[in-house]
Amino acid sequence: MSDVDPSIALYIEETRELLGELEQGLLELETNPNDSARVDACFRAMHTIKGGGAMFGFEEISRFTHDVETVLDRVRTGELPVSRELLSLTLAAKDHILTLLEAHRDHQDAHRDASDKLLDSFAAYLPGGVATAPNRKDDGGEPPILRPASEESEYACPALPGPPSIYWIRLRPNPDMLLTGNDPVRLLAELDTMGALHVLRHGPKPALDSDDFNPERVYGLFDMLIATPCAVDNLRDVFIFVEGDSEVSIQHLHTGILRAADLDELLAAFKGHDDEDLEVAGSRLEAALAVKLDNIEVAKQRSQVLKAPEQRAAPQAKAPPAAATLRVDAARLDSLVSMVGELVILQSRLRQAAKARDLDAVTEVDEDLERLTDNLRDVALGLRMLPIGSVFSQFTRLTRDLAASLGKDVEFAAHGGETELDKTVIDRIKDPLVHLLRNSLDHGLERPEERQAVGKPPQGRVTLSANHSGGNVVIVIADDGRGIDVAAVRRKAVERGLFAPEAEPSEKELLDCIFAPGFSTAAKVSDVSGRGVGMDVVKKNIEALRGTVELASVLGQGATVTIRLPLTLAIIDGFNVMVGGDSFIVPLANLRGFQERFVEGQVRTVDTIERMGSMAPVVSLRRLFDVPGDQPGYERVVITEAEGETVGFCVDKVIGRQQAVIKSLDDCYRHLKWISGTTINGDGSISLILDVPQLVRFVRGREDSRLHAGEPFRTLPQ
Amino acid sequence: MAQDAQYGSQRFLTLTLGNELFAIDIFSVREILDYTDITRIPQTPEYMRGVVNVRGSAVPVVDLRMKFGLGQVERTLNTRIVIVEIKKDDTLSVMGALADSVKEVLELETDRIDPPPRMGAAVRADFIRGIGKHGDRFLLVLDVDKVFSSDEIHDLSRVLGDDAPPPAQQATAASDEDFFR
Repeated sequence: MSDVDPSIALYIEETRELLGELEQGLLELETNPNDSARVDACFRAMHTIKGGGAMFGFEEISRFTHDVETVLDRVRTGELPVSRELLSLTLAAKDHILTLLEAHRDHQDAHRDASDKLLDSFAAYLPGGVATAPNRKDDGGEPPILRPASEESEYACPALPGPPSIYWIRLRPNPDMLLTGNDPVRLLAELDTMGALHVLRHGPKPALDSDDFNPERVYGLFDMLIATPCAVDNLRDVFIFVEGDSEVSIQHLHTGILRAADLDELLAAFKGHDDEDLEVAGSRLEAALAVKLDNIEVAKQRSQVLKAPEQRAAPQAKAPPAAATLRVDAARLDSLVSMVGELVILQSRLRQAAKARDLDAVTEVDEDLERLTDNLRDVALGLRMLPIGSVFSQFTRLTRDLAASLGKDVEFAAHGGETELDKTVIDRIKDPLVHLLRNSLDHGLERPEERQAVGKPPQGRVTLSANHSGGNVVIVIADDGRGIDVAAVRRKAVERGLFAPEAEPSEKELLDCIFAPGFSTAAKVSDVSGRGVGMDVVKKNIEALRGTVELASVLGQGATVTIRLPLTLAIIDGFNVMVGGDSFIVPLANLRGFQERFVEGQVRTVDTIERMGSMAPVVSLRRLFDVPGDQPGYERVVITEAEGETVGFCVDKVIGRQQAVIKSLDDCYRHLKWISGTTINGDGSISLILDVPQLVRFVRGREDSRLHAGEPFRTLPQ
Repeated sequence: MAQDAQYGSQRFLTLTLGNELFAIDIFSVREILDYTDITRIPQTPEYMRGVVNVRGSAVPVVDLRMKFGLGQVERTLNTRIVIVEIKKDDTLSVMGALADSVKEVLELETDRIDPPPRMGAAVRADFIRGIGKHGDRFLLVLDVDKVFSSDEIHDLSRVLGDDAPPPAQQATAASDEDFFR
């Protein structure tokens, strides 16, 4: 749908947001059913969705939403109580609207059955228990149709029951009409309030600059088609003051609904026939209408025939995801603009100072520029920041539905929704969080009766919280369920050969096993979780975001998963190190310390070093990367930790801590997994940012293949 | 490039690699830089010389001479980095080409560009779009998209592994020069 009108894309985007708000409102109503402000908000959201749906051609949405809106309106006026069933139904309706929204506009009919089923459920809440939404099944299958005015308030006249009628109105105004204080435009405007009006003005009109043209005269005649639910008398009343001297005729043309485009087409038939009398024009119109109706009949039949394949085609016709747009706080944009203004001023100051060769002034500008750059960077990065609450709110619904399907009673609480995170991170953290929440609900929490048996309240509790901690965002998912049975994990780990039977792994090491691929202690596999796929994916996804995940558990009291994520993916904190002429950045997240070593003679690619009483492997980056230049006798060792393993990397020099703006590397280097990107240093040179876990994996793979190849010489001559 | 063909002539940037004269479609050239320090990237084939900083982004630089097996580009006053844009599945990627020198922009009649010889040219036939003639010299018109396609680079990196730069084909190069003279 890339060729689609941008306003439609905007409508889709907006409706998505409204649906999100609606869901949140409904879920809050569940805990607090008497919150009338919430009900109002839900009603308003529904109303906006409906109005927009009709406006942008989402006929099915507006048709479907109509009844839902009516029900919400009744709730709002106090006619209906807020009940759990009603909320569930409305939530289902919300989901359905989302489906309709995502389906291609031309394929919405495929979802009509689902709409009707939901509408039937809603009928119970409607006055009289009957759905009032116009049932499109009866009025022909040609979308989009002109929406019948089912709401009295929509038009300025009382609506008659039944489908609307289409009238043909011909107005041949008296040329001197304006002199009598009447104005055809005003008449048309009034007609427009009574129905969908289509107007064709035709007939002779002198050019504006010709001598014959008199601006105080009315030229030509108006042929109008109006689709209105109102009575013909209402229409006649409009012309009450002009009937005497102007020619007005109103004829009933058709009862039923026609497309707006069809009406325009019918009107076009009058073009060039302005002097025909009423009879001729009338018969011409009726002939045109008859042809049109025949066409509609044919199209209807064809669409019935086509329906089956169309339904199959519908899933493919799904609209591609809307263009990635971002809503930005206006205040942030304002500050950005004002900073750019400041930048312009600074630039002119710099030019003056440079012209005058005034070093002091240049230094001053430099200081100001530094401050400005810092602010500018913060604001610019802030543009990408979104509160994580947008993700959290989706989880409220998820846990609710999940708890119901698992037969558990769960209280879900989310804290710190205002914590801001990079948009990319937010988009990619959702799936891992869903997985972890499912785990908590399925494996963690016990059934109410089990909980009571061990003296816990029957209602389980899952909390999701987010907060800032240093340069990281910490997301914690905690439940008060049965916790993780470390002994079972140990048995399983030994079974799978992750540990030797006699090994004494620490509890943390055991819990880390849960993140191993294919690891599951679940006795049975449910449709929610337990297949042993997932935790490894969770870990991988979080690590791809340069985050870490940890698991803690107290048997019988619950488990806690702690996820640490960097604030942004655009900047990384690290230490700049040099090997020969090459410069690398070691991310601070992996850094554990520095040591030194003296080397003599030959250097091995992989060696060991004593670190806090134990031996740790060290890798000579010089050898690994074949850096040209002489091996110095004294080296610094950067101690890193990746995936629970301590590895040192030998470098020539440690330059210092540096905030590196990550620039991704061209695709042609994608096979070098151990480079997570590059950064440009202050002097314009480029440093490579190391991906330590990948680098460790790479070195290990290399060593393994070397050993397996039976190569006895790990020591290479210098 | 098909749409350019209808104009009858095309403009090319000419550059030298060793003694050979090459031409690149001017529309794929973004800019020409003086030689600057190239940051080496370990464990890449030798003709991938590394990355340079082009206004804040790291652009990979390919030593065309080495890639074509014509020896290595030595740094001289005339050494240039030609920044080219390559279309690749709808995305535009930017690469640098190290050249011994950049000569001029010239116009060639499209119908004067002959198909490349099946063998005997200085570089692999699929890198060449055709052979043009300017004055009394022959030009090898490069197919930029092919030369810089990362698949190509990828394949080579796998084949070459860490060791062995492509054996310099001095012998063939010499005979090719004979071919062009």
